[in-house]
Amino acid sequence: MESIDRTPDAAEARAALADVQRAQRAVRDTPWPTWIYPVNALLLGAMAATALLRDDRNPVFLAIGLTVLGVNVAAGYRMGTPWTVPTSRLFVALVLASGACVLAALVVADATTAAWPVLALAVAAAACYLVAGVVHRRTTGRPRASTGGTA
Amino acid sequence: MSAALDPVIHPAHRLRICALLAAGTTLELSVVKEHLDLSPSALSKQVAALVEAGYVGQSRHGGDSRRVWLSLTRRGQRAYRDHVAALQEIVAASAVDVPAEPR
Repeated sequence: MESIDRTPDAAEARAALADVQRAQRAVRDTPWPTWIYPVNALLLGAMAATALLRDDRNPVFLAIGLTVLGVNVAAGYRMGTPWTVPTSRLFVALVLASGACVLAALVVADATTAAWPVLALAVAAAACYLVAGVVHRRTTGRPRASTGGTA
Repeated sequence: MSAALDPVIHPAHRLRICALLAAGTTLELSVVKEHLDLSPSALSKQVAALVEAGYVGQSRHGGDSRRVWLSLTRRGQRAYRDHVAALQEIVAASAVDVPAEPR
């Protein structure tokens, strides 16, 4: 049975908490492979563009959605960090904005017969994700050659 | 003090391992090693202590069975949360104890 010889003082406790924060930030900000940003941007744009399809819209939308999930989880497992959420709030906000553009494209497609608003939202979804990628890369830096993330 | 320090998590390297797993949910052992300044045998020893206490689960899944994955168990999550809360209480108590400077 292990025991604690001496209760840490405030300075030691503060140092331990700072160490915890540093470790968590480091793992959450593991650099992602460069290819994932354009691939995700393209897939999100394609998801939004499926709103233009007259037939088989739902299966195609679902298939692309599952591809997005599969690509990201597979890349995460390759890097050894499949479920970490980056620390950058701006990145998360931009990804959510990209997702909102995809959903808006579906709603707009049902409300109008014009194709351009849906295409504009598809471009906006991809652009938002690309900007999110730039923000993410700026917070994490480049992937190191020794990690699986460079492939 | 309502939260208690956990003697298993208390050593700095084990606390760091738990912090990494709390942030990452599931991490490959090599990622944990990357973030700790420990030799492979020392890391195995620290991880083994956490596994033995029932705080960390180890598994090998996916296509490559050489890769070892670590995650905090529910018990480990609770112990880690309590330990961090206890550290925060120590820091907070010291802030209260400091007498206000006379103006």
